[in-house]
Amino acid sequence: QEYTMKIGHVGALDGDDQQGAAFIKSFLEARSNGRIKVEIYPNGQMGDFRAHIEAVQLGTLELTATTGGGIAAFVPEIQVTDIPYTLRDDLVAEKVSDSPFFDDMRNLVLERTGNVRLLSVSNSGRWRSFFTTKKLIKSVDDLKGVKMRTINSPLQIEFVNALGGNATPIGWGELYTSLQTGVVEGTKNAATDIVPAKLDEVIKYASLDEHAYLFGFWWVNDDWLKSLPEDLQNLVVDAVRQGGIIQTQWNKEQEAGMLQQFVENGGTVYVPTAEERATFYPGGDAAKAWFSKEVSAEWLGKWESAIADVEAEIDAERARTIGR
Amino acid sequence: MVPVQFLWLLLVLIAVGLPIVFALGIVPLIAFMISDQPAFLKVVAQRLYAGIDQFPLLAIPLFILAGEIMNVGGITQRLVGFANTLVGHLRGGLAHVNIVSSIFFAGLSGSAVADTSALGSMLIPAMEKQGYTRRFAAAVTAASSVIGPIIPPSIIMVVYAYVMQVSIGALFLGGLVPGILTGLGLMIVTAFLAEKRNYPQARQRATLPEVGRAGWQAGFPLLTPLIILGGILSGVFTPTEAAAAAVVYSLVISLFVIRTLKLRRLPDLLLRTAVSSSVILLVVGMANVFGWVVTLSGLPTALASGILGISENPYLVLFLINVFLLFVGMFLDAGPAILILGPILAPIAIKLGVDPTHFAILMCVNLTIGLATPPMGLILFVASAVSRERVEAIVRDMLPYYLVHLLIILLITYVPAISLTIPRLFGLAP
Amino acid sequence: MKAISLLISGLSAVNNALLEICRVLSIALVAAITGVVSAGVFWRYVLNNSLSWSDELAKFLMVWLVFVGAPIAMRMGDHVSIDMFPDLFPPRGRAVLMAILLAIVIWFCVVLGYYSLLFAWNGWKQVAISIGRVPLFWIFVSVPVGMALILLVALQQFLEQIQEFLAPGTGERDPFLDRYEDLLREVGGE
Ligand code: NA
Ligand code: NA
Repeated sequence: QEYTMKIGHVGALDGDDQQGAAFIKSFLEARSNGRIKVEIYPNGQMGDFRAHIEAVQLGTLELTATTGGGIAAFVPEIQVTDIPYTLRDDLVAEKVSDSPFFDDMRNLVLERTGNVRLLSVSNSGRWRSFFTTKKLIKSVDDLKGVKMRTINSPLQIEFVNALGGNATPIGWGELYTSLQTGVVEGTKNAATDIVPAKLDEVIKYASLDEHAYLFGFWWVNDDWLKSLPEDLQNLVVDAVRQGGIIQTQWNKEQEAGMLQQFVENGGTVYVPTAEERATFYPGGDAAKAWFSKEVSAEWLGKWESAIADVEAEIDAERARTIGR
Repeated sequence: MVPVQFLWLLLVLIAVGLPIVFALGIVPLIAFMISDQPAFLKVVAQRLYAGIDQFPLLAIPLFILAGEIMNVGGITQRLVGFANTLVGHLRGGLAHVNIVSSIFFAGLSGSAVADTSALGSMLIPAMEKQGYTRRFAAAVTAASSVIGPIIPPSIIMVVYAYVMQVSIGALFLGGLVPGILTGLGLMIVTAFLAEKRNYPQARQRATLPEVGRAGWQAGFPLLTPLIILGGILSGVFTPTEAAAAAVVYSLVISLFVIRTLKLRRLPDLLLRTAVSSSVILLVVGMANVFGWVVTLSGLPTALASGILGISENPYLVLFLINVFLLFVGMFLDAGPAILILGPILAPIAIKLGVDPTHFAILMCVNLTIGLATPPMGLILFVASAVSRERVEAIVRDMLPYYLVHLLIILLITYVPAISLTIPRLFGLAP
Repeated sequence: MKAISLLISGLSAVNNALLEICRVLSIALVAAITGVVSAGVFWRYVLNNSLSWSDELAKFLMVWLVFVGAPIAMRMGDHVSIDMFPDLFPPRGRAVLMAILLAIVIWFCVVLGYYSLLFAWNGWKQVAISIGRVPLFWIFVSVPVGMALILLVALQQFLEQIQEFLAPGTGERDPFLDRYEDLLREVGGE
């Protein structure tokens, strides 16, 4: 072979990143006439998300998949995609993934990192919702005074505190014990985090308010990409794009099964009504306020207008389909 | 991708006397340089940094500092005084006092060495004055010091929990019974020796008021483990926060309540904490680099299938792992041994159905005992420095106590309930 | 011979000044870590309002602590090693072996120092999310700084071993050792 693509990701061998990576490997190796060889380093062998981005930057890896958190140290603007309740559903999230917003983001990341190029935007584990041990969170009133685990991100902390909750940043390794002992009474996560980690042994309630969509990003080392002949460049871009789509679809299927399992294990799953969900929106506004003040009002504007465009498009499509 | 042979280099470098921390860092550099993977070289510094930049590790300097504060003068005297009213009247009284004090001290301190030096410098001269040989006094001190990191708080358990992503709370609880059992076992052997060698029975049984007074004197320091465990279990603290609480508590009581510490001594305590923490944490960081190369070499997978190929009987595999760990413990410190071997051995045991907390306790206790076995044993060196006896002499007097250590390891291995009952009681183990 | 002892005393003067800075910094860092973690607990449980920056700041202080504390430990010989093999040698042979080992450490510090400088430089492009967007360079640079300090100490120790080999027993004891032995070892004896 002439080229080697090393893919690293933090996911498990039976996780979504590996689904995407395995597809990319077989696609590229089958269709490049043996000119590209793909090696996969799963399970966080290169460290955490940020370490993977740095490995791509340094050319240790050619490709990696991370969440927005992985690149946020380089590009804090990407946190805009994490602002709660900006995305109304899967359709909007998937369509915005392909929108020009991420062309702008690609350029920004390239500019900041020098050589990390965004190839594909996917979903890396569905939506973040409220999972609690003691009481179901139907609307904002149920959140008052609840000690809610967040990741250590000011945006998440602002969000929970603005709704009257008590945000408590705790590492993943201590989450089980902390839920068990009551250091926290709930956590903002996805079902795809909760069930495989057996957290449903202590978590009893899932309220699928779906406040944040877990975007997945596939990053390539730009110098390596440019070192390929044009036909292989196209092949790589196609492979990664389709790998991302496979990852997104795989997660949907997984989530459905895991929610089912959650219920079988004695848990309660609740989907807040539109009115109940709306009671949480002030938390999203607080996160927006934090973001415009501390990071960038301009990127908040870009994000909101991208979503407005996508929503209009979807509404029009839907109207055409129904024949209204 | 990285050949396994590079791992031999680690052993050679350590054996010829290179500090372990550098050996752990050098092997990855050489491995990547020689195996035409220069791209990976660029990530070495990042791996080192990322191995240290971890929130759970903050518990290490904090527990060390709390231990240092408690280690200053007066508090040790109070613990020993209390132990003396409890068991001082037995035949071989001071030897028993030594062991019970170790159990008390273990609740304040996260390491074994602090125990050896604090109790040794006070009790070895006292025992000698009562007619014990110095080397026996040193042997009892060393043998009971291993209780230090078994009863919480424990630095090595923090390290284990960090590399293996298990709950520190569960490990802390899991260590309670094995720690106390070790103490009881050592006391039983001491009772035999005392009978046989006719050791002195130096004092009358303490009256209840005497016990009460001594208990009151030692009460505030002895509350520390309760604050740590109680805080974690009641959901007030995460383990790291509990460590901070322990520091604040020990500072407040030793500065203002029982006044065993003078403010001007504080900078020296902070310096000692800084140096010991940085030694441990730099090893943690370098081990992260080394562990990365081990993973890339595929050794863990190969070793696991090799061992499981020999036998899939968990009793036999655990026995072999114990023998291996005892051997490793003769040469390596518990911290680096856990960092290097934990990720390799734990998955094998877990695959055979051993509970992760049970295995963690087993590994921590086994390697802690290694701190008191020759030829390389930090506890022995400190005991030797404090008593001015040669290591060989101390070891000879420790032989009956090693039997207790071995028995404890076997008990922990084959009776999982010893490590799991208390964590289960609090819902931290299945 | 004269040249070596001159080199040693020059290097020792530089190192001891640097280590004195490390000493003060490491004391301040341990105190700061305790303060920051305690403040985090206090805010969360007493004031019911999490500090978003306390965890990240405490970790950064700890990383710096490691790299200013490790050079002191190097000077004091506190990094754990197995001395059985070196102890088999007569004094001059031991000095040669120790010099070789120190040369390995020096090589390591140079290589890792170089790569950690690259790593740190990349930190200019990154910011600490929860602490006022500080460039991560200021935290990452602790690694090359630590490597450089350990390298300087190792260099001095290397020269001391050479001197020990050439003229056994003539080297003067570094005043740092006595001073720090006092600071580090004698606390318990009050
Ligand atoms: Na302890
Ligand atoms: Na040993």
